[in-house]
Amino acid sequence: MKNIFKLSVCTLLVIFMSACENVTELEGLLNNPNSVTADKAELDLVYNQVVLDFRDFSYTASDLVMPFVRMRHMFGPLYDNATSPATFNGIWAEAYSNLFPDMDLVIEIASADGLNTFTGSVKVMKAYVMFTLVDLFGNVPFTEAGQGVENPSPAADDDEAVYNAALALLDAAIGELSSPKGKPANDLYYDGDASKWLKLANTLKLRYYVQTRLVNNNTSAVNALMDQVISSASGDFAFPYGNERNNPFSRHPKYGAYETGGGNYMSNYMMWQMFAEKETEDPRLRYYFYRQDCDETGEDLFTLDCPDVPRPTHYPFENKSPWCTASLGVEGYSGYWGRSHGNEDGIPPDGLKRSTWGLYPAGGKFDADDCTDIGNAGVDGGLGAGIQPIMLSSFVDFLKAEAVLTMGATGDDAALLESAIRASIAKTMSFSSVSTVDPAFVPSDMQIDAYVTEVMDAYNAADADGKLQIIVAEYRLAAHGNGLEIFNAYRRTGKPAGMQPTRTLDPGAFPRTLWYPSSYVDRNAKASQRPNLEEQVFWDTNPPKFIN
Amino acid sequence: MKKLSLVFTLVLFCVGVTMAQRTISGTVTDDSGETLIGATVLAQGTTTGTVTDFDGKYALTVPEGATTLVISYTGFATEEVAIGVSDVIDVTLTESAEQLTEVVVTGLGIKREKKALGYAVTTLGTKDIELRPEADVARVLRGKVAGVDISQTSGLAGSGTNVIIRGYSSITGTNQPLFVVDGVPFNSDTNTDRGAISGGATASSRFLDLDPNNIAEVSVLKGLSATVLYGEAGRNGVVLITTKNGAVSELDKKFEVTIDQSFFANDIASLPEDQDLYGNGWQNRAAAAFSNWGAPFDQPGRNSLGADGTIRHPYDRAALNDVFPEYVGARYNYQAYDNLDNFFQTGLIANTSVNIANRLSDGTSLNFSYGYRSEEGFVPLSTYDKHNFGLGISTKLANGLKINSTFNYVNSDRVAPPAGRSTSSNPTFASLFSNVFYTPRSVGLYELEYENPQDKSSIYYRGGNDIQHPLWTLNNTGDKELVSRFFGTVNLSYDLTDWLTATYRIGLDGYNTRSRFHINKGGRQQPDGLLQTNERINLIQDHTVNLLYNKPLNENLSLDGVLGFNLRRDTRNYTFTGSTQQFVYGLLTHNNFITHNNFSSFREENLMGAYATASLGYKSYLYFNVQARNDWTSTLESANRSVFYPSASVSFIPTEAFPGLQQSTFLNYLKVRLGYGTSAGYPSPYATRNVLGTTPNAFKAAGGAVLNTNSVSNVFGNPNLKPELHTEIEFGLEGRFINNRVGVDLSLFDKQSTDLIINLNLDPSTGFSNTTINSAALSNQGIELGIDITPIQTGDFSLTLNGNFTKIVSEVKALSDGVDQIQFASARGSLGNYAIVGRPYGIILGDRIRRDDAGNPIISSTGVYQDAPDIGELGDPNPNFTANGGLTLSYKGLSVNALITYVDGGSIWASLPSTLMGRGILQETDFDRFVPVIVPGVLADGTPNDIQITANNHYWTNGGVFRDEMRTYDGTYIKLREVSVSYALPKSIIDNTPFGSVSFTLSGQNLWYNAFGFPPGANFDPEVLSLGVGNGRGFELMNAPTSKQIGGSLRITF
Repeated sequence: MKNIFKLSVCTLLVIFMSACENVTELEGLLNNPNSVTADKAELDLVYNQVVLDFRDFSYTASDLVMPFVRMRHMFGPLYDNATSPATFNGIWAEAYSNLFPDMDLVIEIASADGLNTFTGSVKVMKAYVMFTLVDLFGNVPFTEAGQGVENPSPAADDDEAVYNAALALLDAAIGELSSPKGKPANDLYYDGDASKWLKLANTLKLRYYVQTRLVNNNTSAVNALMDQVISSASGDFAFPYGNERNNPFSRHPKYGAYETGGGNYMSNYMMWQMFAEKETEDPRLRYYFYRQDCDETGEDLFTLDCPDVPRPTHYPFENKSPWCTASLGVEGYSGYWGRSHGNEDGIPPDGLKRSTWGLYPAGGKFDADDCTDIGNAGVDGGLGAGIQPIMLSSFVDFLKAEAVLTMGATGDDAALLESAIRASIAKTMSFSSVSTVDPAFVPSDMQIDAYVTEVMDAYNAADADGKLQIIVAEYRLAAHGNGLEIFNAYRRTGKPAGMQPTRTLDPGAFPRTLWYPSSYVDRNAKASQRPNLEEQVFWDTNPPKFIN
Repeated sequence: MKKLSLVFTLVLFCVGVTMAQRTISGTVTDDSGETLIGATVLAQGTTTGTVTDFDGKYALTVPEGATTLVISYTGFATEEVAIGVSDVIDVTLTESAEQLTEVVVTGLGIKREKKALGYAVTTLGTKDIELRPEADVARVLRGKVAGVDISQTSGLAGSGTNVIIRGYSSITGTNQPLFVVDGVPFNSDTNTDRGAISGGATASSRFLDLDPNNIAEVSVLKGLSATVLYGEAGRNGVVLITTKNGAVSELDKKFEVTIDQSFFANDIASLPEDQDLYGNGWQNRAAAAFSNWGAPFDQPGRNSLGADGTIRHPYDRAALNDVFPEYVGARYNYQAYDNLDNFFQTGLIANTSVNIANRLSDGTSLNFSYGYRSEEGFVPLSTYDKHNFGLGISTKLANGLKINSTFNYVNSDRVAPPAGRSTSSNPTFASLFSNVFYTPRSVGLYELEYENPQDKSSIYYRGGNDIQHPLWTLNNTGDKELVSRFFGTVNLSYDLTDWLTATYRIGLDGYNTRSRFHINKGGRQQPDGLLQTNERINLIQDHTVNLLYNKPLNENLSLDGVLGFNLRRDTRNYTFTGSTQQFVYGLLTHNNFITHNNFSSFREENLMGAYATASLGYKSYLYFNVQARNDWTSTLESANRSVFYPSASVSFIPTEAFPGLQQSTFLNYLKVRLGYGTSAGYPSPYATRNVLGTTPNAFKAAGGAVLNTNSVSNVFGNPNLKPELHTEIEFGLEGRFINNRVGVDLSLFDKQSTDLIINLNLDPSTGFSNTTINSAALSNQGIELGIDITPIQTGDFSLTLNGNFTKIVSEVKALSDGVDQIQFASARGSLGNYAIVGRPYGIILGDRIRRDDAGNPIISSTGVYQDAPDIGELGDPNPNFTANGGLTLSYKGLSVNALITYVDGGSIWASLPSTLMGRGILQETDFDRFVPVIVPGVLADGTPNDIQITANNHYWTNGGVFRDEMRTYDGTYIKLREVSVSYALPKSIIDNTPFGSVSFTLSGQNLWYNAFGFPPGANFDPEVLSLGVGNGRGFELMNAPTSKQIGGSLRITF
């Protein structure tokens, strides 16, 4: 009996212990077997992440504010409910938790080997992100940011201090880019050309001085930069999208409309401006917008109910502001089917009818009066191989012209304006290389000259205020695809004045800053939401409500 | 209860003293003639007693002077029989409602007298569980256990079930209880292959793999003082399930075969009532809108209708003219079509169970079970088939070693329709239901071809073809899941001495699920088609060594308890393959798709626990229990790995302690109990260390260069993470009154959870988007009341009413420094459930309309509401209280049962009723739509609104579809959950047949309900959880409606 007992106990123990071998392991299971540890990061691979996240950041910053400046349609109906705090969570995370840690990691790894092309280019991009955060939100965290749970509630820095820190970062980048070393494997912006990054750094400095001119009219700094900046299309700072549809989706985000139709409503006002505001049709019209349905009349009441609806009384009759669609009632034009500013109606089945993003910059279709719908699973036009225009040579010339006109900088404002317009037209038309463009509809040099002449005649005839109006108005038309520069210019200059009002008579104050993101306000003990959108960025010393 | 008593009574009477005088023998049977094993036979006034053997026989040598035998048996009325001249006394016991000496299964499967417990345990037997229409054991428990909130995610066959015991005590972690089957942890995960909003909300919960007809008993351990022995996994309560195979050692039958056959009809619970006056369109004109604000049917020749009341045929459009030349110029009848009735079907549920039990003469017992269930849902795409095989063996070797084993194998096959979220319009991903429910009245679902005959793509009535035809969805999508699962135990037990027993148990629970989700190309949401396959291989290994002791210290004091050690290993393997861009229509292999992506993960988690309990009993009326456990986990860094948590409880029975109370006919039994329990909670594995984010193939440049990336992870791995702590104080009162006709079981609890591990979203300006951190605190206080009343008990007729009441109040005490709210569940962006400091857990926040300081809505210049710039509170999804009432009526072999549920309050953001209202489909919208509306409110300048808008604009813009605030309803409802009528053939009829018993049952589930806060025409059943199993609550997103079942069962034993 006793032996049997012992035997049984031993058997039990043997079974138990053998079964326990991997059961008792505790320490060995702490590392995630599905990932590698952070110290395995490779410089080029982190740089790739920065390249792509910077694309997303600049795209989003530009896209979010386009509706305010009528570069695409704003639902509204009020300025302060056109967006909500949650609207900005994405860009906030893109900057702070995606870009900055990866940028800092690139700088840390590359600094060890003095790889200045890496560190310099990343610092330029970082400065751009910092400028943009201030442009959109005013005071934002900087010195206390990025400390993880050590400081879960970073305090916001004064917006001017962040702007100046970004300027200092540009200066550091300029130093490093002046003695380049190393070449990123996939610098999709400049292919590792440090001289181009250097010009971009100087351009952003110029942009800094123009942007802050109301608080600090530093003419000499601008003059010193005039010849150091981007001056030709080869220096354009833009992200080139690919045309891969699925694996992974590498196309311009706006090209998404070319899957099943739909997409953003275009701004009736902007389309109208391009063919009805001037005597001469804008040469970029057919590149910017594509019409799926060239006849907006006779529509089902449900798809387009406004032709019969009287104009709002605050929409001027004298053919100065479009109603319903951009082309309705404009002789010689039809099918420019967008929406007016602040039209909050639900979305009827016009996804295969309304006008959409064209060839430039989304890589969509060139409008050759073919008028077919774009719900074709992404096979049309430039296949999405567009660009995100971040800082083009044309933009630089507009900024220079503004500096000459308003800051007394050295230069010929009229020549700069003309060169800006011509650069923009050339850039737009260069897109014929990514798609089949019907030559019959490509603007001739004569048409381009006619357009430029019309603008320049008006410019030369205008007073200083009128000149500024024309510079910024043309800048806005040239900046198609980039809302950020115009949102800044509008708040800085109050131009272009007289844009289409919202459909609601009283839309509230125009946003001078945006809502703080809910992810910031809700999770940060030191953050609180601004009471309204009338707070102004430090560089905006214009009176309240001076724009709408 | 019969089988439970044997062990216990053996223990009680193993130290009997005999003084031989006269031997009396006999048989103890119940009133159906079945012998009772282990009944206690005692000579009154002496300590002499015995228990009946396996044949119900006893032989007792009674001392001189003994005049009466007292025969008692758990669950039966105690009989006193005078000892006469005969030496043979046969006794028949009758079952009693009184359960004073009820024995219940407690932690680790240890059976204890209920009166000794210092905490609440609810036990349900086979008659509460078997022969129900539901395949899901948790759903069968609905309404039957106070303090337990059980919600179905939908009525689809095999869809998941959310089980919450005593409230939500974790903010972002799981609140689902631990399931323990035959003593071994049972994986009850709800594995979702897609997010809740893209159709994952109806995924199965893996307790679905149990066969309710094979369950002998379910015990629900609610409080922490009851669950401490299960370690941290038991912190949300424990559902202890004993299968018939697991209960084999207590088998009291020699040889019995039981066969059950059930059939149920399975229908959608209800359809909305539609208006029949207006058809598809907008602003009172016929048009191909999504909505139903079109022309009145009775005014042909106007409002875009032809003179004959027709419209242009929807398929007479340029894109389809070549495909359907017959429709060129064709007209279409603009009339109300009967769509929904035709779309839903009556599914058949067939359930077969066979159970064979045999107790061999040497003490070895066997139980074999087989169950087959075949279930069709209320749509053709919803089916569920399951086979359950089980075997239980119990034997005792000659050396005294007892072996008790169970083996179970489950194989199931489920098909579910796509059930993506829809908040008013086209669903996310794909959904069978949303596009069906809001089908405009004048669109004939069955009149319009669903596919383009050339390329098989979906076509429908809108010119832009932007709605996927529901019949196309039905024919071109599917979600299939195959499960094979093994679970079993080997239990060895050896009595070291008469008071000390050693046991070792190994339990295994392994399953493999393979799922396949597909959408053919040609649809609208996924026009290229997709195929996703997921495979999971999950395994739990559980080893337990126990030393059980039970030693009377003196005649008044007894001591028993356990010392034990437990090892648990949990591994999960997951593989995903996703393909898009189908090549050839209809073929569902990955190689028929152009683009692929894959994902795999492996997760392992080990847990060690040591525990001890001691229970000190004084006489039979005071019990003191202490329990403690220490755990070590592999999910925390070594400094924080170990956690110790004790518990203690006291039970006192005044009616036994004070002789003065014992003769009362009013108060028959009273027990007071007080318990204190603690528990811990561990994070999911891998939360303490940072990893590198890696993304291969992140971008393909125009030149073809592929960018792969590394990045600093946005998740901050928190090395200082430690276990969360839960403590609970529980007070209870159990009493029986008025000749045992009235019973009351009351529990009050206060559960405080601190150091809660939350998945904290960080302000991204910290450099990280989220982390896990111990910073939150949550409190739950509640009342659970169970009452049973037997107002009538005369001869053959009896009526019993029982009810339970639950009220739980939660409060979020803290989240994290500077954080006063966390969104933990999302229905759409920021619309979702939040934890807000100082408020109950789960508050719903969403868009609100803009109001002035006096609360008046501010109306825009177009006459409609404006949105407030930020989200605000829409409601509290937690009910004020839940009450269930049951009725049992029996007359001879006939028995009637009914169960009614009433849920008071609890807000629900409901997509279906608001969409149907906003789209002009519900009966409520059959008013004169040509009359304009002025919305109450003020204009921007503060003057009363005077802007007229159309009814269409009002209902569309202000009502159903755009305003979260208007889509939130009070969720109060009453429901007739269950009715059954059963009849057992009397013995006199079956005596001459081979059958031991024959019974019939008719039963129904979810037969009627009324949710008062919703538009009556919606016939809305709020009992759905569209965010799926988890912490989200109070949302209905048109994923899938509920079902009702009616049918019958036949049971034969022989």
